[in-house]
Amino acid sequence: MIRIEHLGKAYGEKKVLADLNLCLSGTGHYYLKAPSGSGKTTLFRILSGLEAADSGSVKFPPGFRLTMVFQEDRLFERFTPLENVWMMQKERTPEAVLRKELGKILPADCLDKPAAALSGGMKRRTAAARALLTPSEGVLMDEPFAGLDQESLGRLCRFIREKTENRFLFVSTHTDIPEAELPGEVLTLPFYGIAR
Amino acid sequence: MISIISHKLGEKGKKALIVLFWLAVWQGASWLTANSLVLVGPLEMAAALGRLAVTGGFWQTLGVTFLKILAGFFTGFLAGFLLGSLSFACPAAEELAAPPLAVLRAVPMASFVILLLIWAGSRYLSVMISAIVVLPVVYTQILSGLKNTDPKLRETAKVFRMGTAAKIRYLYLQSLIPWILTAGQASIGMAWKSGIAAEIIGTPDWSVGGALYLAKIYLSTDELFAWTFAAVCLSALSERLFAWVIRQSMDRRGRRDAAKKRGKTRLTGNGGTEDSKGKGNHDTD
Repeated sequence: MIRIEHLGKAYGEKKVLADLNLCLSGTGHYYLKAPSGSGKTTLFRILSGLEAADSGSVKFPPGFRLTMVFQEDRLFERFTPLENVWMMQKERTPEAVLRKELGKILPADCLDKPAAALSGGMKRRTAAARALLTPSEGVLMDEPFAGLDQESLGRLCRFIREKTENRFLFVSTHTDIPEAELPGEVLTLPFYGIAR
Repeated sequence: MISIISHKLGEKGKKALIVLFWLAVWQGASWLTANSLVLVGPLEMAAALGRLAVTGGFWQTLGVTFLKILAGFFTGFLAGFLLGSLSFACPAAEELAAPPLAVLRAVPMASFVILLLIWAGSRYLSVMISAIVVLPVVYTQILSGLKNTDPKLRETAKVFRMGTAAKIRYLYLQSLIPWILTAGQASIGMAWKSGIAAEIIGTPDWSVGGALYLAKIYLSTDELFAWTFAAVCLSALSERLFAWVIRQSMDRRGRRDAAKKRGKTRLTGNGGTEDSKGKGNHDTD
């Protein structure tokens, strides 16, 4: 169980989160649909431990590791998609296996190019692959589908399903994804926007 | 007119022309002065250089000075690099290091030269002085470079619990490369200037500074110019050498990957190595 209790955060005068209470399954899949500027990025930052809440708490089970797709790609631009995944792994996935995995969502010929040379969509998918292929108990994804065409979106959904079995998944998205593609609980949280 | 000429000659030709122009001005000035004690022209300097170049001592002197100054440069560089990294990792170290570094920057180099001459003698004076000049420059560059590492990538490394070795290799060293190049290029010329100044005061055997000192005693201005010219050449050479070494180590990754790729295509052509055969068997199992 992941317990979010009375979570509050404000930047100066602007309240971003106020008295948020959520109880999430440690292996559940959740989709957050909220307009931009509604504090979801702040929620992601607090969940990932990058930012401290003003009040309340987030409790994870002990030893719960998270990986994440940020709102930006945040790739190590001089390195290839392979290396971008490897550098995060304590134990490297063997090259042949990793190529096969990345090949499910990326064209094979881009795997040896530095990330800087990839298109926006390829970078986005690389960032998703990095979060999904690095061992963790939970994966946070902030707008992972931004800028993807229908075909790569479908592939990424399948890949996410495949890689998050028995993992916690928390996705924020504007994109309408059919339930069949990504089953899970949609959170249309009332707390968003109350501060505005 | 210059623009017409440069258009025809291109960038290199233009530069050559500018150099020729100033050489002509220099030669003209030396003819006007008509006193080889005060100002020798480029022709006389070249003659002196030719005279010196046939002696073994000239090359040995240049070689010894070159090695000493480079040794000082690398010592200072390494120390600055390590101290800069330490100060980044531990803010208390940065505060602790601030006063001595301020002293290093503020005290005239000549004072250090005299002091070290008293403490340690003249033999390795230029090594120590070059190191002292280089250290604070490199320290500042490395510390700024590390502090300027992309905060977003640092956050990414934190969330993913990236290992320390991986962080150093993929995050910090990558972002340091331009700072390292600047640090080296800014300080290597300084190492030469102050190293030779130290040699003039210490006048150890086989040193350019010692040779300059003798040129002063014997009033042989042509040799003074010749030695200076040689020192400038070596300084420029060591700057290039440094940039080359850094670029090589920077590109090593790219070349290694390319080599791996070549190896791979060859391997698949031959039907695989032990390793890939083993994996193949595994798959069929």
